[in-house]
Amino acid sequence: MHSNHEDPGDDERIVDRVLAGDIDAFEDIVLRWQAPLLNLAYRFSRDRGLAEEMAQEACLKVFRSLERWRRDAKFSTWMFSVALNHYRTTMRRHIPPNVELGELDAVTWAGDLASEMDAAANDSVVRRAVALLPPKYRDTIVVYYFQQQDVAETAGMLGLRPGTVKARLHRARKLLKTKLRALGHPRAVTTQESER
Amino acid sequence: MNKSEMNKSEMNKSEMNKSEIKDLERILANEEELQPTTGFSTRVMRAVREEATATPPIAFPWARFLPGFLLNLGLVFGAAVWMILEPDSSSSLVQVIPTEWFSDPQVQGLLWAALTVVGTGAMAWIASRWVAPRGAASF
Repeated sequence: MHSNHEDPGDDERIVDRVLAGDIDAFEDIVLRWQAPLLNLAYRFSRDRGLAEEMAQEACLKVFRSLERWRRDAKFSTWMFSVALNHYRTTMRRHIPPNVELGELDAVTWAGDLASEMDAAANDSVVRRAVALLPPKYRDTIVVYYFQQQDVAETAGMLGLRPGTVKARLHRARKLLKTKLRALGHPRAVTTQESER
Repeated sequence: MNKSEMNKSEMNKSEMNKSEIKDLERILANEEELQPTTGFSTRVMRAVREEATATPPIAFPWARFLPGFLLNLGLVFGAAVWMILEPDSSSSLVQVIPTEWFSDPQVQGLLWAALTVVGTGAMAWIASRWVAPRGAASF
């Protein structure tokens, strides 16, 4: 997702300029990281408009807390963890805790679904199912795939130990399968049949 | 099927097998990448500049607040201790002021009015001396 960015030292140099009073230099940070920040926000919200708002606010929060970056972690890891905290707080306000996946997908999943659904719709259901997992599992699975399945980076961003990340990923996949099966998702149904 | 086999079977149903994990990885790792709308960075930088040029919020004047607060706390604590140690002290306090003064309603009214004027004056003086910015009108 964001590993194609240039030298991390560039970030450090830009941050030094901003901290020295060159506010305009922060635009370089924004331009470098706006797309990854937006995409991470979208993976939480699944709402383009909200994701953009969240990413903008995250940039502002990063600017406000620049002095607190201790440089023991990469700038990107620290920046994403600041953004992540903001996204989690925002999602607590936007997704009602009692929303059931079944309610959201009732229309899509009515009738002979397996024949109606195409691959893209299936993918969309899986992504929405992830967004509706309990927060600690949702955060882990979202960040893990956002970080291109790098457990160490995921652990750094979430402030967890790698072992905890692996355990949460395992549990998240189990929960996801249960949710998808409850919906009659073709992937889960197929698996059940093959087990008989 | 015995109980442990049933539990194992239930567990297998909720566990993802390799092909399912692969499927999940395909779906979650290959998301279409969104691009920010034009003006994203402009909007962020506008907010950043506003933030940078904004007057910092006025810090709470702890240095002025704390001495008065601690003094009051001490007085309340002292009074409480005094009342516990000397339960009759409240009557002796009243006796400092001649009781016949209070029997005259006019004197009572005057005392209250004087107390109010002195209290208001004291408040205004404290406010102008400790809180008003330098150069502002003072009493």
